Amino acid sequence: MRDYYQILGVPRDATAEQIKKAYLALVRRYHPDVASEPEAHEIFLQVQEAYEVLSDSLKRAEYDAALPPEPLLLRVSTSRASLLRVNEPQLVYVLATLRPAAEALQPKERPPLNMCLVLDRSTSMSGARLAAVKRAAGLLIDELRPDDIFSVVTFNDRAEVAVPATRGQHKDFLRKHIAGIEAFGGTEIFHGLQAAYRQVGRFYSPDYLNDIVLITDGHTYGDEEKCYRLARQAQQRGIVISGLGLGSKWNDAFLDKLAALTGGSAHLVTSTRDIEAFLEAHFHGMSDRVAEQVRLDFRLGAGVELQYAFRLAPQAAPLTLTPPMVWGYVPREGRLDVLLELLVWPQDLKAEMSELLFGRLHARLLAGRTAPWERPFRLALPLRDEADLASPPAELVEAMGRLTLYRMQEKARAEAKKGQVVQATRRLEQLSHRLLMAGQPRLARTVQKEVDSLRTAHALSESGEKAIKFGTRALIAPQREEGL
Amino acid sequence: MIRCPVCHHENYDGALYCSECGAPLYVPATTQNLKVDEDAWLPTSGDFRSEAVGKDARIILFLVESGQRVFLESGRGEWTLGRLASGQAVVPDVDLTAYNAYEQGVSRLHAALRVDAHGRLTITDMGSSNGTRVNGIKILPNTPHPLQHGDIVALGKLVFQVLLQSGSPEEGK
Repeated sequence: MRDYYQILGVPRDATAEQIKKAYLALVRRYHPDVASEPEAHEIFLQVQEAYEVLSDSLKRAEYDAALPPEPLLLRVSTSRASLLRVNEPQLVYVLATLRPAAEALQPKERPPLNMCLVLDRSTSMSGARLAAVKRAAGLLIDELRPDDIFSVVTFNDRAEVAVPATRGQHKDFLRKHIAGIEAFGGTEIFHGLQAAYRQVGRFYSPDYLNDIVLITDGHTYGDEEKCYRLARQAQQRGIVISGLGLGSKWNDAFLDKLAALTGGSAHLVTSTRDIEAFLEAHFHGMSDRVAEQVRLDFRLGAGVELQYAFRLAPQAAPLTLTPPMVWGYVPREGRLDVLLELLVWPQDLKAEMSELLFGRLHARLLAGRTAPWERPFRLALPLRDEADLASPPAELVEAMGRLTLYRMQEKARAEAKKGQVVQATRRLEQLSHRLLMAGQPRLARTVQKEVDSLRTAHALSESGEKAIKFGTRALIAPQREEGL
Repeated sequence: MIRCPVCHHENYDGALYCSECGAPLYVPATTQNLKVDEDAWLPTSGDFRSEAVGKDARIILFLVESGQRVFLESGRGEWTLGRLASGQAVVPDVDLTAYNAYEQGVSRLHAALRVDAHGRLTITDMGSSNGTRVNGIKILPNTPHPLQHGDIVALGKLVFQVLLQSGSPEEGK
């Protein structure tokens, strides 16, 4: 059954007047005489069909009675209500929020989990770190449901299946294999990921929660591209990859990108105790989701650049700037918040209405089994001759304020890497100052320490730059979530 | 283009924060009751380590966002900070209306700066709606809190740095 409200982009309780207004705007936009996009004709027909039903109060009542409740609520707000007719580029910020509707809130049994832990067991992992990971894996095994599937892959320069994919009912078998893992050799992540992909593939079903958690403490050398290709493949099958970096030597940019491709997130762990906490939160979080694999397929309007895309919550993380942009999951309590920054170039502003982004949002609803959900996601703003005086939504301004701190850190790091020590120093000083004003004296001190490191060693310390990155990232979420 | 008031960087139209220094470029039109989260209270019973302010010291409030300076009238021991509103019975000594005080959540009588019996500068929150912070930590209302040169004070969201310029040379820094 088609959702006519979605097609017209009006809420289900829209008045007759709202419906008419939305209809007329869409007809003007997608009429075959004016629109040139390939999708325009199809949209035009759908709009006609939708209006025919919703404009007739009798037909609408009949249609409403048969309409199933909407499981996810999408709200999109923009920093401005219109674009200005000026000869310079303009920025538009977009805050998109997905929340479960009241009907979707009743706890439902989660689908079976199909999880693979990928453990770095290179020599650097020996001792306390490896012991902590093994202990954490043991705790997970205790909590597996009989129909869950669990596997462990270890890797150094090559990969080994330490625990083949096994149902949760065979706990003794799982425990025995975990105990045998020992540290040895160097770090080559691709082999580990590939073996994990195969283990998850053994019991793979699109109806399961297919999940890979990579735990590493080192750099991988030369196989990053291969890892990204594997991640893209995983995304298409709905397998989510998350990363856990231990200590200061791992490559956080690599892990961030790997996670972003599949909708996962990367985390910094500084003490071995955090490993347990992370895995436990990750495992329990699986039961508290209403939808997963939320992704936006899109294309941008002419002259529009997507400059930045970031998930604010749950678990703040950068998103890819090319489609599909995988947003991740919608928690049962709380919401999925995504912030986009679009730059609009002036030469392409001709029409009265500028289409900025055109796409569809997809998700899998978790209700015992998974079910697909999708709806159109369009952003368009009218073009005006006078400046728009309406205030941007406070929520968006606040979110951008928190994200700005994180972005200052990113810039300072890029500058330090390029050897622009003066610029990096100045930016970190400004960041430290902003953090102080934001009530974060401890993080401000960490930043100040790196300013000193820049002055004396002309470089940032590996532990310091990660502490600042994940410290400012932890400030992004509107409220504290899940402890991680 | 929008020019950043703090670092003068030219930002694209529509920017909400300066891409160079992170300063807010957009001032919300009306927000009176801000949601300032309740952090741990800072106990004020600890030792006062701030130095005494010389008699002819000058106290300057450096407004961080706008870069403007407010010079406090010298020769007195107390200055109330707030904003002037019509029909107000008690007016503040220092009216911060011109610095977007209302939008930043400053109360009419927000806080008082005082030089105490030992000659030290203190700030007292006068039961304001959005609270007062010193170096990011919320202070108890109606309890004097010592201030030092360089401290960052926030009245609601209006942030300034306290600068003390000593008049006599032996106290100069």
